[in-house]
Amino acid sequence: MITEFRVDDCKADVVILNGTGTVYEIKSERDSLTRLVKQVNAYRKVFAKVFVIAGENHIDAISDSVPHDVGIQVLSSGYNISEVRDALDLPERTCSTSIFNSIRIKEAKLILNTVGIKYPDVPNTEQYAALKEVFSKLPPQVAHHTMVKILKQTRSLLPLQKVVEQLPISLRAAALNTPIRKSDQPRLIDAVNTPIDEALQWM
Amino acid sequence: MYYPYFRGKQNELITIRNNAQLMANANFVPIIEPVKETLNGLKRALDAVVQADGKAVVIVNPFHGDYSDNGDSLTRLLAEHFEDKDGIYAGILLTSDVSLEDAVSCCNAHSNHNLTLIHAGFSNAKGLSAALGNKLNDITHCFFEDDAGKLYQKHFFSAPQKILIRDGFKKRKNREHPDVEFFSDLHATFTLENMEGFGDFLIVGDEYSESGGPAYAVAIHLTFIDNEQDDAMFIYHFISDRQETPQDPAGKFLEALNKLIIKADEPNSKILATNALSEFRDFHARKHFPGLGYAKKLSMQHHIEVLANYFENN
Repeated sequence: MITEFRVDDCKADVVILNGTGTVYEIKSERDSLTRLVKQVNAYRKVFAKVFVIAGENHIDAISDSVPHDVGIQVLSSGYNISEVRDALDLPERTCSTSIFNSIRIKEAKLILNTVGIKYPDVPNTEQYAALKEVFSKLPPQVAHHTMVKILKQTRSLLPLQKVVEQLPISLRAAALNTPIRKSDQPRLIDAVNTPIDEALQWM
Repeated sequence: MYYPYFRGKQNELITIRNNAQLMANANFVPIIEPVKETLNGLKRALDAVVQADGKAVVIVNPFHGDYSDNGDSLTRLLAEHFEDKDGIYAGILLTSDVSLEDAVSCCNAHSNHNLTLIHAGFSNAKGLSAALGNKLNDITHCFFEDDAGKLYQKHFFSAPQKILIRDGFKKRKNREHPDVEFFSDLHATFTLENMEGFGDFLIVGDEYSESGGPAYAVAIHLTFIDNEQDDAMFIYHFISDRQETPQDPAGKFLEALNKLIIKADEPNSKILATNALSEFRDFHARKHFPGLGYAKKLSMQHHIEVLANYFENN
């Protein structure tokens, strides 16, 4: 899982890498839909499956505005998520250049290495342009499939496992998507484990 | 003479370390406000200053960053490692948040070190001056010009060691910088202000930010002294051509560097051929991007070298 994944000038709320790449844009009842079409179109070039999860009040407007391959889920007032329509899994719809623009240089290299494509050895100021040229020629299915594989490694949340396990359930979701400095992790645990009487003395 | 003010993040501390000898030779005194919890980096920078027989001021009650709640570890570092080192001064930052009692007790707590007061928005100049009494004259006083004006300074007039600190760098988004602009003339005018020395925030500016976020435009800042304009100092901002996305900082660095080299190669270029400039030239020849932090370090080094050169010749 990746949160706040940047695509163009949009930030995808949640990306799930599990066989294919699925992105979720979340629109609560109070969010505006003005950016939605732009966001969805940006995500469709990078991820094979695109979902919008939205409050009930938005569902009609979303069904009318987003393409048919985009899935829709509704967030009900009882905090349940149910599917309005499934997203189509279309890796061939993605675009290699857009994928390149959304990932790190290191990840682009790993992808090219994995599919066995050579890239020129140039000074580092020219590397981005050189890699982009090679990467853009990848068939989109190949670029997408390998991106999913590589991002699962490079953006892995496993290093957070220990911290998350030691936190109360109420803070676990936050710990997964809030970057915490390594040196601050034990402090957070200590602070959480401090008895309230003692913690009040800090003020 | 020159008191460059560093918010001691890693790059700033390394700049101090790498330029310790240069600054010692030029009689420059870096003021360090430690902001990141890297006591090791700070200690290494101070060791280099001591080694070079130089001077430095360490602020023991920083306003920004990791130490803003509690500077005890800084006080300890000074007590344990630098108490017998005459070149290392304890600096006390007097912001508007500091009360008169706090200011006085902080001065007493560090009376074993040579003291430097940084007047940066403190409100009770009269009270402090009275409380310090004769001790006032043994203390070096640095005044942030924006926060401690002439009426404030009047209360410390008798002190022989007075330094005026003026921020020459105008903080903006990188893409909004003009190609060139006035930076400061304080290096040429501080004696007219009845000051023993002057300071600035180098090419970083006074405004403190924890982290930058991705840079859409890459900028290289280079200062120069213009002898055709009464030795006033100006600053070039070399900005990358591409500014619309956060991608490819390395390529954008080269765009900015190309502009720098063109300017430096002009006949009668006013950019001084410093060691920092040589490094920029080397990166240009190799088309190598050393990282934005390194580029910033080189710009700071260039600024220090330019001022050292100025005082060597004046």
